[in-house]
Amino acid sequence: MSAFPETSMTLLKKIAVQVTGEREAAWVRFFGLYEPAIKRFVAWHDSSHDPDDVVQDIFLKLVNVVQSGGYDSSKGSFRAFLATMIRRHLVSLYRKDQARGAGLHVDIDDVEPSVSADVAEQIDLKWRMARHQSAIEHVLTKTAISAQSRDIYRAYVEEERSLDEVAAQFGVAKAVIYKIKSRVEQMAAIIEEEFADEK
Amino acid sequence: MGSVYEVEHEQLGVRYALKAFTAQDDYADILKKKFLAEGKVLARLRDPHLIRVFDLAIDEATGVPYFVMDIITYSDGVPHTLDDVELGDLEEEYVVDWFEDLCKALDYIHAQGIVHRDIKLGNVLLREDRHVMLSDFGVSRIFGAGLSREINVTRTIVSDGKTETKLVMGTEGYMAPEVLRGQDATPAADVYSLGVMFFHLLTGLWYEPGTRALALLDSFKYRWRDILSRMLSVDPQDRPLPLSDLPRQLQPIESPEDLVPTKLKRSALWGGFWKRWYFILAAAVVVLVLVIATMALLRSNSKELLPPSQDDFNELFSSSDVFQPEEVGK
Repeated sequence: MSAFPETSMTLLKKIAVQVTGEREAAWVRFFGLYEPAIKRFVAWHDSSHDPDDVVQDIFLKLVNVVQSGGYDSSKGSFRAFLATMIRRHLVSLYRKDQARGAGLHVDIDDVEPSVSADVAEQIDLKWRMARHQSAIEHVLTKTAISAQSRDIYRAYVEEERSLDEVAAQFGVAKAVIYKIKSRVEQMAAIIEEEFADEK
Repeated sequence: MGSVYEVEHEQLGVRYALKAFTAQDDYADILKKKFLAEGKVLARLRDPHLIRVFDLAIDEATGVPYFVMDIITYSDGVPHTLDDVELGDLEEEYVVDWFEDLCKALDYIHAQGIVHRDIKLGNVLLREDRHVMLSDFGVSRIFGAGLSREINVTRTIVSDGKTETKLVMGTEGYMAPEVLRGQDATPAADVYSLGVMFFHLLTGLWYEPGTRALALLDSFKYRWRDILSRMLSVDPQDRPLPLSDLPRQLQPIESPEDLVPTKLKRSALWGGFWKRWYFILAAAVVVLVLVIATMALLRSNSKELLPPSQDDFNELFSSSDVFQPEEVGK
C-alpha cells in the first residue's frame, strides 16, 4: 500500500491538480478507482492486450490531449472530461479490435469512436460492469470488512455456490449470507458514485 | 531527511535504531535544525506507544548528527509501518487496537505541548504484538506560551486569490483544511490527520470532504462513522479533543455475523426469538384459547350441580327399571 504511488499517471495527476486546484489526494483517489476499472474492462474484452499497457497508453494520450488544449472548462468539469476521454479510448480500442478481426485497417491513433448503436450499447454495458466489478473488488480487497464476510461473499456470489452449502461451510444462518451480500453491494454502490459522470 | 540504520551496542549487545541526518539539498541547514529538534522532542517523551530516544549527538569525524532510538520490528524481524499493510488482509479488530494506541500516544504528546503535524501511515510502526507506535517527529512543533520553537519551512499558498508564503508542514493527503490554507497546526490538525488515516485504513479511499464516502463506515462492526465524522470536521473547533475518551466511544454495533447466530449461539437465538412481537402475539392467542376452553369446561361442569328440575323427576320415574311403589290398600 503506497500513499502516492509513482506510476505513469503521475504527470496527469499533476496536470489535474494544476488545472483544477484540487488536492493531489483527490486525484490519487480518482485514478485509484479508474485504473482497476480500465484493467478489468480490457481483461474482459481481449486477452491480447496487456491491461497495464492499455492504462499507460490511455493516460499518456490524455496528457497529450490536455497539453494541446483539448480541455475546455466551459464545457464541464475536468473530472467529467477525463471520464469521457477514458470511455472514448476504450470504445476506440474495441472498435480497432473488431476491425482487425474483420481484416479492416484502422489508424492506430484514431480515437474518435464510430460504432453502431448496438456495439456502443454493448461497450457501455461492459464499461458499467467493469466499474461495478472493480468497486466490488475494492470492497473485498481494500476495506477492513471481516475475512469471513469476504469469504462468504466470494463463495455465494462469485463461486455461485448454494445458500445451504455456504451456510453449512461457514456455520452461519442463511440470513447472514443475504446480509453480507447486501452490505458489500451497498458499499460498492457508494464507491461507484465516485466515478465521474461521462458526457 | 534522515536514514535509519540498525546498530548494536558493543558492550550491552542490545540492538537499536540509529537515525542519521543525511540531507544534502538547499534546505540542509533548516532540515538539520529540524532533525536535532526531533531528537530533543523524542528524548523527553515516555509513552508505550511512542519511540524512545536514548542518545542525541553529532559525530566528531563527519559532523553528521544522529540519535539512537528503540528499534521496532514486526514478527518477521524487519521494521514495518502501516504503509506496508495490505488493506485487504486487515481485520477490523486490529484497526480498533491501533486507534486506541494512537489516541493515547497523541493525547500524551498534546498534553506535553507538542503537535506531531505529520500523522500518516508511514509514520506508524507495527510492533510484534500487533500494536503500534508513533514515530517521526521531524516536523513536530512545540506549542503553548513560551514554548514556541517552530522551525519554519516556507511554501507558497494561494488563498482567496492572494499569494503568500507561509509555513506548511506535513503530508498533503492528510493535512487539515486550515493547515492547507496556511494556518498554524494545532492539536486539532493532528486529530484530522488521524481521522484521514483511519478512514483510509477502513475504506481504502482517501478522505475527500463533501463526498458520500463516510457512509461506507456504516458497514463496519464499530461506530466509526460517529467518531470519524467528528474527527474530519472542517471546523477545528468541532473535532474531539482530548482524544483520550474516543476509544471508549468506539462501541461495537450489530455486525452481519451477529444478526443471526451460528450453531454455537443457540441460546442467543432463543433470547432474540422471545423479543419478537409475533411470538408474543402467538403466545397471547394460545393463552386466550386456553382461557376460553377452561371457561367452557367449567360451565358444563356447573350445569351438573344444579338442583333437578320436574322434567328430571318425570324422566327418572317413568323409567322401567326404577322401583315402582305398590298401591296402598290392595
